[in-house]
Amino acid sequence: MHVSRAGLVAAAACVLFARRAHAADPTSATPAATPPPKDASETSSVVPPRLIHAPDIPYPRGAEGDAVVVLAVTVTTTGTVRAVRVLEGEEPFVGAALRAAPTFRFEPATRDDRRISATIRFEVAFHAPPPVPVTAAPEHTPAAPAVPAPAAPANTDAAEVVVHGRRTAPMASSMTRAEVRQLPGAFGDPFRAIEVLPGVTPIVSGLPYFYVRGAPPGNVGYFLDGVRVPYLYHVGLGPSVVNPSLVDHVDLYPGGYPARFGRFAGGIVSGETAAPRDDLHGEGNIRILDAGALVETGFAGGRGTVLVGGRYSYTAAILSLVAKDVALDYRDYQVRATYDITPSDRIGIFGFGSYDLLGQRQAGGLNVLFGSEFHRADLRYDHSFGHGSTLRIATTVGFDQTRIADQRNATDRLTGARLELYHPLSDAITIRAGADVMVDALGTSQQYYVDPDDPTTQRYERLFAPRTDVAVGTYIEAVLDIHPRIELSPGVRFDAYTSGSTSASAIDPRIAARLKLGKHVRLVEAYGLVHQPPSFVVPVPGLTPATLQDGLQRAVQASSGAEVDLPDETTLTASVFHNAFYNMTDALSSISAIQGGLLTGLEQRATGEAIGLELFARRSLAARLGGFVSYTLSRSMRSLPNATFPSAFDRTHVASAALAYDLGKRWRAGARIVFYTGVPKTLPPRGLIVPPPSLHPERDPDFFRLDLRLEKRWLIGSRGYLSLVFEVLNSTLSKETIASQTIGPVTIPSIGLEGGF
Amino acid sequence: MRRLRALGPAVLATLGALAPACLPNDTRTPPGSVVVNVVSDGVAAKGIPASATSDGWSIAFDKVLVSLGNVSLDGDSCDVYSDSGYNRLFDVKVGGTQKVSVIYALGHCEVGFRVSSPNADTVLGASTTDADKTMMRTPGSDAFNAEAGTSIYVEGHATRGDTVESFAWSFRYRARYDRCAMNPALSGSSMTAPGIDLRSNVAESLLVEVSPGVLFADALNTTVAQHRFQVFADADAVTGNGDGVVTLDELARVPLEKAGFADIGGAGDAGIFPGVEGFVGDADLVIRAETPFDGGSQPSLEDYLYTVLFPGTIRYEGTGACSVHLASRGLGD
Repeated sequence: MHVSRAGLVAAAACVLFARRAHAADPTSATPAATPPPKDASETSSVVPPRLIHAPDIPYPRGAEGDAVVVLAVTVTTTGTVRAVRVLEGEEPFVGAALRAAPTFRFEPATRDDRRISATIRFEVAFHAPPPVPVTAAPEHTPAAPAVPAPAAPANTDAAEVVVHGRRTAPMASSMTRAEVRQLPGAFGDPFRAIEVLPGVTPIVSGLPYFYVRGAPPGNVGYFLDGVRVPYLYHVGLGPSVVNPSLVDHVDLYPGGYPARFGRFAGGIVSGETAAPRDDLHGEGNIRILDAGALVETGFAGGRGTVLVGGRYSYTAAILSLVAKDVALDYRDYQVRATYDITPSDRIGIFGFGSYDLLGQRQAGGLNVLFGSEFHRADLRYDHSFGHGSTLRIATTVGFDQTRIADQRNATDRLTGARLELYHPLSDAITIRAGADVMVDALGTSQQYYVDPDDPTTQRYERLFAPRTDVAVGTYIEAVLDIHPRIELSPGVRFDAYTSGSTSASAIDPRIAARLKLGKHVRLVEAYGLVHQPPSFVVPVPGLTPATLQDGLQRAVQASSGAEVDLPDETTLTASVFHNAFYNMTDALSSISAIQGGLLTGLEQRATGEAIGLELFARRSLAARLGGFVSYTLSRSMRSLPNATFPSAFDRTHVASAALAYDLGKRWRAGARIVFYTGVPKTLPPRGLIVPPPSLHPERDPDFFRLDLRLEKRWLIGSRGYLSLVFEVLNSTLSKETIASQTIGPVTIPSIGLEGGF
Repeated sequence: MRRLRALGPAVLATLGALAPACLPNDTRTPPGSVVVNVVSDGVAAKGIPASATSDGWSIAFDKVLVSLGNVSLDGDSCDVYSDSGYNRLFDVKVGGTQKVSVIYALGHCEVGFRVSSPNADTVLGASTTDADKTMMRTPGSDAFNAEAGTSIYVEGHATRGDTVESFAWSFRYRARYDRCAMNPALSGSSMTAPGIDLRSNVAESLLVEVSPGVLFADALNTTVAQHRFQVFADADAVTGNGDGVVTLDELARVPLEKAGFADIGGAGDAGIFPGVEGFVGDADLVIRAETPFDGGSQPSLEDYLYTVLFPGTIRYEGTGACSVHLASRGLGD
């Protein structure tokens, strides 16, 4: 009998963020041999979780060699596992570890002898069994019990644990890098993967601009480590502007989100970078159109880390072979450095940026049809007060620039500062507070070749007049465990805005709640009032309308739903939502009722509402057999003074489903289907007397596409890997119809080689 | 630290490749420009005296409004640097030239423009008012268009002795003029070569002439055409309701063969209407019309007025020619 077995040889707790530099080497199969120095005043009373039970973890069928999977495991005050996130590891080992992790049992962490929740870094080491005859081998033979981690800090080594408590906000949907890698059509980009989440309605297949619960792309905020990012994707259909290797996870807050997020009247997409690591590691890929790489290492004995990453497109060289007059270029970069001044103090800088250019060679030069770039530098100081309390003080400088028609540049030189405080008052109360100021110096260059009498030119100059916009805000939010079954998250933020000579202010209360009905069922509620200054129809660097004199956009967001844990690590969420929009600069949704195009629409204000039902059943795509089904049934309406009509991108049904399966021998295949209803078939009105748009217009044809992914992976040594990935978005070559115009087929094939160590 | 030093060159190389990206300046050769102006031939202001008509009627124009613009340059050897997506409302009774728009390009470019009903963004020309714009945008219907705005509005009266006949006609077709060419007699060429040559940093100008008198001419060829009004007066007084107002509906009852046009053949001449070149005698003045109207078996005076004479009121460089496409999208956009 062949016996495959996995050995859980180490469960090492370590700092996940502020104190990471002093933690054990996470890739080590054994725990930290020499605990890092500690701040005694901070750690003397904190005891991290101790593993008391681990299940037998079968060695994955078809796997080869040894492997280590590193998980971030959140341990509750009762010793159960509340959340698991993959930090490192490869399939099929990741799936095996994820399946087992929820059954781990711990002696909970304590502070001053009081139980507290904590998140620890947890390593699972798999050792290949010796080859034996395979006769009568059971599919999954129980492995030997996991060995309780000898180095799991069971004493006062509190420097290796930080009270996490940063729970997923109610109604937030999260995608981890490990999952996204397996999502067909996402090309490994976490930000691109959000389109599969419920509540997200695409505009055009393949174009990563989304409506979120009825809110147009211009009302959806994008953040990376709390830094506002103007856009996320290279030249529309391209990859995301941040190296996927750097992104730990992406959260989508479709509504009723925490008070720390503000100044957007739609959803929030928030990406968090992976924690700095002091071991040398890296990833890279080479594809038909671009190549990217990221490498990080430590210095000063682990007190410092430095990371460099980027992507470079060689589309110009390829395009020159087929379309000599067209110039297409995109690239991005990321630089991060951290240094621990003391065990409690860290400084860091995170710089990133992106560049996109689409042009046509003309008259001995280059006619830039569209170009955009942004650059950010975020200088941070992090301080740990102990007991899980942290403070971040950061300043951000940036430069955005967009080139639009007729060689006119729109620019934004931004400067900002923010303060973020995270403080667990007790085991049942955690507060988070902060303040920030952002100054945007917006400019518009003179158009060289322009008819000054052209109304469109004049409208552009009115809408995007050079000026300085200032936003100042402060917020406070809390997570209250008011009952073992009730978690309440109230919050409020205040923002004041000036734009040129006009000003406005807003108070945004938010509240969310999670009610545990049983062991496997939770009710979640989220409500919020949100405000946003005038916005352009889609996120474009430097383009912000100067129409604050007409007031802030605002929305009232409400949602109610349930989370159900199903067998086999499958979760089901069901939600209903109702968003009401007021005073919106939503020209995109109202295009069917606006004369004169988008710029004209930006000078009008619309109201609207969106209601819907969302269903999401999910089993981690990183598991051996993973997948999800996502469905949104919604209705989004808009109103102008004389008309009420469906939003231009109202889609009644939006559904997608994906399946990823480990074929063995490190082959992994996946497929995703996407279906959505056609948009209302309406044309922009003309003439003096405009008939009211229909409440139930005809619709353009529905759309369906199939995305495919196939990966073959080779392991190199104990940590390295190499993958060959075939991926195609819209393998069915489906065409789409928008406003009676046929588009496409927009099909993106990709053949790439990925590797890491 | 050794590891960091080892990474140093890679870091610098990466930053060098990625970081300094900035949008490039405009490196193209500076273009030339062309200003397109509109001018009245003076008939709208002065009218047509009885001595200038073949039947003794004098014709006066009380109001002539033209909504014209959307100038375009195009062509394989034309590098276009800007576009002009707007139009203006002109009172043709105003003398002198008025600007339509300026547009930038380089090379040999074909010129086009559009006559269509105003939209909300239409710029008011000299002496025109918001009331004029509203009137032109107000939808109306006739035999050719349903619920469409007005591209050209002509209002006036004709007098002979004590008899006065008035008219107020709204032409609602959208007329697109493309491939406009100079009259070879003026351009010095033996052929009508459409377009204009634009050189770097050189400003050119073009003129679009509005000639409402064409509506009462018996031929498009101005060298042979004569103005007259009797056939219009008869449409009201003889075959119409005799109320002193000549309407388009009344003109529809007048067979074209009895309208006395000099440059067409007999009734039902298949050469009159769509897509047929040479329906007028002088090639220099050809309007190559591609109209949605098929002419029918018994074309009327209204048909000819609406689909031939109406677009013929707009002249490129006076005696030049354009291809004209008529469409019924007359609401403005």
